[in-house]
Amino acid sequence: MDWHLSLVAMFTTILALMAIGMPVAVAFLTINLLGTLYFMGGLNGIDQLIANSTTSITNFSLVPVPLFLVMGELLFHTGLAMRVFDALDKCFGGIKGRLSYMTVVGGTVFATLSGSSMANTAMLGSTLMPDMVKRGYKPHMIMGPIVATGGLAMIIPPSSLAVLLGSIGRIDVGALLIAGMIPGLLLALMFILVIRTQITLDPASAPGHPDVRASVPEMIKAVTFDVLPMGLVIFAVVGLILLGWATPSESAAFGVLAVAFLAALYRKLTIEAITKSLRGALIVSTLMLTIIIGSTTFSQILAFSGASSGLIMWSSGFDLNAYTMLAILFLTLVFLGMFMDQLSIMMLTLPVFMPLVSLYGFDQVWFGVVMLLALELSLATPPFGLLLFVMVGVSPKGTTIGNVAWAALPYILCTLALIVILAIFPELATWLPQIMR
Amino acid sequence: MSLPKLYSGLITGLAVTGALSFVFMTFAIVINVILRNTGQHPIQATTALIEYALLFATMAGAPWLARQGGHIAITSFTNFLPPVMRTALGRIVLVTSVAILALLSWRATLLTTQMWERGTYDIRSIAIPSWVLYAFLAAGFGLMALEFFRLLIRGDIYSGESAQH
Amino acid sequence: AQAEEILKAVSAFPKPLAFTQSFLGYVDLVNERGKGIVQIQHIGGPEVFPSNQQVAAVERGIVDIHYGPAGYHLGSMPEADAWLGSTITAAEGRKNGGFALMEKAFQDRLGVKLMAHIDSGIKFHIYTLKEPQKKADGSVDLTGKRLRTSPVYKSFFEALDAIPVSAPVPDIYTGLERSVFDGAGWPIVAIQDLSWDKFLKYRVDPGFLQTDLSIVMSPSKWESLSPEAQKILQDAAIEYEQKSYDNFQAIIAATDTKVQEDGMTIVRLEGQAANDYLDKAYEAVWSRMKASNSPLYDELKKAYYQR
Ligand code: NA
Ligand code: NA
Repeated sequence: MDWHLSLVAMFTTILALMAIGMPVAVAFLTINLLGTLYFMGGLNGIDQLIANSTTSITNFSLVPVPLFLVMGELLFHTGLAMRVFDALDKCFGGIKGRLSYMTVVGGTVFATLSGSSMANTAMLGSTLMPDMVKRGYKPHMIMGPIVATGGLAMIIPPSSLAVLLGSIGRIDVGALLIAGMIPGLLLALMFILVIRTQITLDPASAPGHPDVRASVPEMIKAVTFDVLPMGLVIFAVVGLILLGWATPSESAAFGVLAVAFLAALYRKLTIEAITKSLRGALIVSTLMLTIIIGSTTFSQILAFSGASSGLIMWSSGFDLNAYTMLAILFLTLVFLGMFMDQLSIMMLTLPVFMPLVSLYGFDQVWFGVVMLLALELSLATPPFGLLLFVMVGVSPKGTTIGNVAWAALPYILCTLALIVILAIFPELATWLPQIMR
Repeated sequence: MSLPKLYSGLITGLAVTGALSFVFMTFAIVINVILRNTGQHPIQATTALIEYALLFATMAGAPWLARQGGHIAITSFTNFLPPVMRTALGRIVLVTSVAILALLSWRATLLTTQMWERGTYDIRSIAIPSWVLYAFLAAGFGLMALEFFRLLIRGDIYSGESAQH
Repeated sequence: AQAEEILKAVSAFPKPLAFTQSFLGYVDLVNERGKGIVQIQHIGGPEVFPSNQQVAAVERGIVDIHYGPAGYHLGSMPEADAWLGSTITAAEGRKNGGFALMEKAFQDRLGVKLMAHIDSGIKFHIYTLKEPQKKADGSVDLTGKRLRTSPVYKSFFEALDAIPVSAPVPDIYTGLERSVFDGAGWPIVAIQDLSWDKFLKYRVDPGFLQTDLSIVMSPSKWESLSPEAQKILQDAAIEYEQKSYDNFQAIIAATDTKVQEDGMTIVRLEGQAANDYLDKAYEAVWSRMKASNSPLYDELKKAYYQR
């Protein structure tokens, strides 16, 4: 089959399967089976499909996904998260939408310790969502910031995706990691502006909380007993990486242990809390990882069919000025990102894109950052956006992917704006790696 | 105990084991990091076992999640359909899901026995017999198929809307 | 004449990496000579099939050719250790009958036809963050050092009393930056690809073992080819074994110079100390194959191990 046809057939079929309400995980398995029968042929193809599936999630880099979920669930079910929010209430008084801001700030902090966007979103979602709903935040004020900030984990170092991007694209890994720092923080700043604007436009979207701050002694007490101990959790996750005790993939386990320890100190580590936390973590982890099993193989079949390379060659085959070419490369990434996983996208596109990068004289590290942003974006775009799925998984009954995608839209626009800014001021990405040499 | 009860117990039991494997992951990592940083030899099996636990927990949780209606499905479009059509479509979806999952489970079972007979190993931080991962998939897909089949014979459709927290 | 036959090939590594580029040299050679007869089309790397499932895809006839490390299949083919533990070049192995034994192993254990052992002669080295101490006898003291390892040389690191640590590749950069590991094992080439040389400032010489990269083909596809096409593939394979070896010798020399210019110090073991070090490395590999009860053990060791 011609690559155009393969591409259209594969994409329309998976879209149709999702649209008729087939569970997303099964929809991927179905399209994979059909694709396999067509492109690889017969039972041999199906056997290969299963063999490929055995490797898709048995990967140590995915460990933070379930463990950060457990950590977030524990923070919520033991009431530790609630305590922190209450304490912050006392200190900040009536700043509207404070928890939305806190999502961005907290999420950015966690982005500096987590290399995985999925894990970051899962953790933020399972910790913050329930309390924010209780406090009367409108759903978009909760889900938008969480999905957006979750994605920061792969821009701000450490980032396992940046490491893979560097190695496959033969870009200096160290420089690429550092280069993500300023754009990542800039993005976080833009997110805060979005929240500020949304609250101005719709004051009812976030609760006002008590208008008056608590007295100073009360504030000190609240911070000492409810906020400062959280430092232990931060230390367990970031501190151990910085000290060189644990790798980023391992540190999540210490986060779980630290939360459990604190909860035990507060005498909140009940069997019920543990059971609920494990149950919640199992739900979200299972729904994500079953989808990843299917989507990984989907990407592989697309690659095998020649559809993805066809698209990439076609999109990169134009003779255009640098900015238009950049836009086309970017759109290709976003399009692939609608259906495919990040690693596959990188392996497919980099062999074609990197020569173009040198041909057009783009800075490699700078392009790496743009590419990371595009990949981050693809996690939050429907129909296949893992962060959207995570968010649905941790949200109250009845939340749809559409709801989450709408909530994320303003933040997606921020990422697009940042890419334009990076095109105009490449120094935002290239300056830091240069001075740190 | 009756067969349906036993079966329900199996589904729940698997989910519990899946959730417990998160506890195992946590402690296994913590122990290994402590051993490594105190100059002792970490347990070599840990990395491989944790990688396997990721698939195990997923396959053990998947049938239970299907029972809970927790697997994500996009209902934005089907919700606009008249109830008769929605039901019809829902049943087509279920039949297809059962067929696909059963087919995958069957092939995965055959591969499990093939790997067993060949006696090959999957070499990671330790060597584990190659059939194990295939067996996880065979069981997980098979039980998922059964769960969707139960919905089908009960006359229900899958909505995925009871994903709850 | 028959129509031009197009063979689909996959590689264990992504296309931009040096090893895959070397394989593409073989592809080019075949395509140049096989115009109108046989052509190889590289359809991709791990994005098409996971690296360790590619040989199975060839066995199943889904793709025709695979390029990648034989050591990925140690669990099904313990004979892969013969190449890892080899002390001769691939071309010598072909001459002395070693290659024929490996052909048999690939056929019996993996169900694929072995075409070539390319990119041979690239050794592995231990790299460390801090200068490793030497003992009185001149041997290197790695006792208690945490070395990131692959399954292939894990037992060697244990024999050195080091602590082998397994960690996924994306974690290694941060791990080295923060000294989670004291060092790592890696081939002499490609150490700069992931910028690890920023942290790994010491390299222990001599290198040990060597690369085990194979080109394999689907047996049924091979049978279906015309003798003419077979000859082109076969001749190119033999020729490329030597050519890729020579290419990599040049790359090794260039890398060696480059890393030293960039500030890497070589910790060289001499005489008996070097000998003992290598004994441990090769012993770990060959005894592993022996323990697997491979019927080819004696013949393979005789052919490939000549220290
Ligand atoms: Na990060
Ligand atoms: Na997407």
